[in-house]
Amino acid sequence: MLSKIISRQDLPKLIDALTNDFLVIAPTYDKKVPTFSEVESSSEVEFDILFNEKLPMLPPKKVFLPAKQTVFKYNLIKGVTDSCDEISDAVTHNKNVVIFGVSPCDVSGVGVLERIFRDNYSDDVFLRLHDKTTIISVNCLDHCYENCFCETMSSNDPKSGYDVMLTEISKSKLIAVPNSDKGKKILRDYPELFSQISEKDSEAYIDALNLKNKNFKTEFLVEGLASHVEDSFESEIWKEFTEKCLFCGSCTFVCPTCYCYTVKEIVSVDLKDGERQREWDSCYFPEFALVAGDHNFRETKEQRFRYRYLHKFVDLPRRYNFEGCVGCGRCVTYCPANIDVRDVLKKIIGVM
Amino acid sequence: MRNAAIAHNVGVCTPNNAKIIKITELTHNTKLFEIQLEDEHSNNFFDYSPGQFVLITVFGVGEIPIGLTSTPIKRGSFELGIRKVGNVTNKIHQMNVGDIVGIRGPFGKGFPIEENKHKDLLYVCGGTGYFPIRSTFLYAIARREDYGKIMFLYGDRCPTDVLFPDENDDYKKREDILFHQSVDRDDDKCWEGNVGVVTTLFPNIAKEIDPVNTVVFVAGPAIMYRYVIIELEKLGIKNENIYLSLERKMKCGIGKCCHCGIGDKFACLDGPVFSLDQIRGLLEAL
Ligand SMILES: Cc1cc2nc3c(=O)[nH]c(=O)nc-3n(C[C@H](O)[C@H](O)[C@H](O)COP(=O)(O)OP(=O)(O)OC[C@H]3O[C@@H](n4cnc5c(N)ncnc54)[C@H](O)[C@@H]3O)c2cc1C
Ligand code: SF4
Ligand code: SF4
Repeated sequence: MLSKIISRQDLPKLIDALTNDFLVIAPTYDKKVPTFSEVESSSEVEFDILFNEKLPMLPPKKVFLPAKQTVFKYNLIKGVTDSCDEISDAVTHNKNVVIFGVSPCDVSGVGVLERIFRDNYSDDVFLRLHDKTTIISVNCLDHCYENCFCETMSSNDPKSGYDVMLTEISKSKLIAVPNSDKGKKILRDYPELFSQISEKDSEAYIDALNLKNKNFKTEFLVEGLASHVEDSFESEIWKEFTEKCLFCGSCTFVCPTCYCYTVKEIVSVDLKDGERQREWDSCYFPEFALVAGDHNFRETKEQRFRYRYLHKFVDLPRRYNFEGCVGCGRCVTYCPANIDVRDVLKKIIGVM
Repeated sequence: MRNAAIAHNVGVCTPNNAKIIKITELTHNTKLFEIQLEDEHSNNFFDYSPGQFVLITVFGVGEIPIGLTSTPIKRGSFELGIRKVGNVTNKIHQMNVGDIVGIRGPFGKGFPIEENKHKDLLYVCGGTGYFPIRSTFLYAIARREDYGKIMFLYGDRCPTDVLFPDENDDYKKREDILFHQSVDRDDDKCWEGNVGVVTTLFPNIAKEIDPVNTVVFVAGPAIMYRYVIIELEKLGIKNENIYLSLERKMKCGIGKCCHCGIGDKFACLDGPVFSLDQIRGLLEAL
């Protein structure tokens, strides 16, 4: 069998082994906030974030689509000098990357972004980082907190997008299920940390999956959501939420499937060289659709509030066959105005 | 749709260095730039459909979408007509022959010109909308025998804003093209032609229109579209035969940055040219 067992107390050893060969990104606390960051040893990793069900504030999108990132460098007279490939290789110190401890909903979120950045025209900046990354996911057997609605968004059982899935089958053991060539290689390359599966382990795994299946509940029906949202274009519901919203953009920044960006030119003090920076943007900001001559294609706050929902629940499903939401609940947690995406959708559907 | 063939050697997010090889002053605020990719080999691959656009970078200042205004029939270089309106366009206007800019693209869906052989063509444009329209118009007159009637209505704000006056005079002289032109205002009384918005030109061609066999290509400021659509519908032309180029803010050109979203479409991927049929189903389009 390709799947193997790893004991919980060997997880730090796995991290330490991985740090020899990869740039490792894992859950840590940054000023008490759960965060994915680069670690040099297992002592920096906060395993309780994983096993006490806390979601890092920013999803793993920050690895492939950082808040700010250099796309290419240039000389103002001669043009492009350094391509994005060279730059992103330097960012990861010419190493491959492992992200350890990604939750299933975040795996689905990465999957959403990957598809968007690969389709039509492949975005080499995103994919260069994505394709050199191995994702080790840690399974959830229950809703991690009250804002989670992953079951509603069908995101807690991703079929692809991760390389190894670790599922707790007892307090001391996890089953490591590889899901790609990269994942199989991890299990092969560190044989001393992985052991064969016994029949009892297999049974415990099935029990764990059954427990997961029993624990997760849907909150509302997503079927038909796109047409509900589109049909509600003129609804008063948008007004109600627009009045509460501060348009701070927090919900878009913490969202694993929000990917809008803008670009800026950063020029050296001697005005000789520069670089293009890609930076997170938010459709909630007034400048987002503003063009020359002060013409704004989304002039009112209501249009801007509504557009995020149109994009996530109408445009993306029709274009890619998935919603732009994995139900992680981060936007609910971090909204200073107490706006809950579930309330908006339930009102649109007419069940609240 | 043609692909961004030239993008492959550097990746689609990084511009290709390109050289300005000729600058023609068109009006007090508009110039025509002829551009050639620095890597000579790539120029042969630079193919596009009329109505497609590129993203042009002024290094150190920024990157903006500009429609291709030359025809793809002519290889080796291409032309962009640029009106001065802000940061990047002002800086481009200060550049000289030999200066280096960045080019990404061509991107988007253009006007379906090859798909509409043997049809009558009606072009309607206002202001800088002339630029993308010119590409498909030059294409059609270079293959004149492939098309039925060719009609062209062009309106601009005032006589000093008129683009390509010499070319326009040539078209007016031709018998196989119906070219009509107007200016909105003529404060200095120096304009001999029609004065009034572009829709006032419609009576000139109304009798020539065969509504079933005519395809219309429109580009101009958003406000123009509403009035032009009314006129076209009066002529009995079906929505599916009317194509409009929509302007939106764009940062990536490849459907990633989301700035150009219109309903469930992106102007950069699904447009900038849309049929009126498509637009009718799009929320927030016009
Ligand atoms: C598909 C397409 C084709 C175009 N073709 C032409 C053309 O052939 N000739 C021409 O003169 N202009 C054309 N434009 C408009 C041109 O892109 C804007 O005039 C230009 O972006 C203004 O940039 P700026 O930095 O000078 O202005 P600023 O006001 O300083 O703009 C700041 C930023 O806003 C954005 N922006 C501002 N205005 C527009 C706009 N109208 N459309 C899109 N983004 C905008 C740009 O990202 C720009 O960098 C086209 C626009 C689109 C979308
Ligand atoms: S986090 Fe809340 S207040 Fe801020 S933009 Fe989002 S919905 Fe509005
Ligand atoms: S919209 Fe909210 S709940 Fe849905 S994926 Fe984004 S942050 Fe999570």
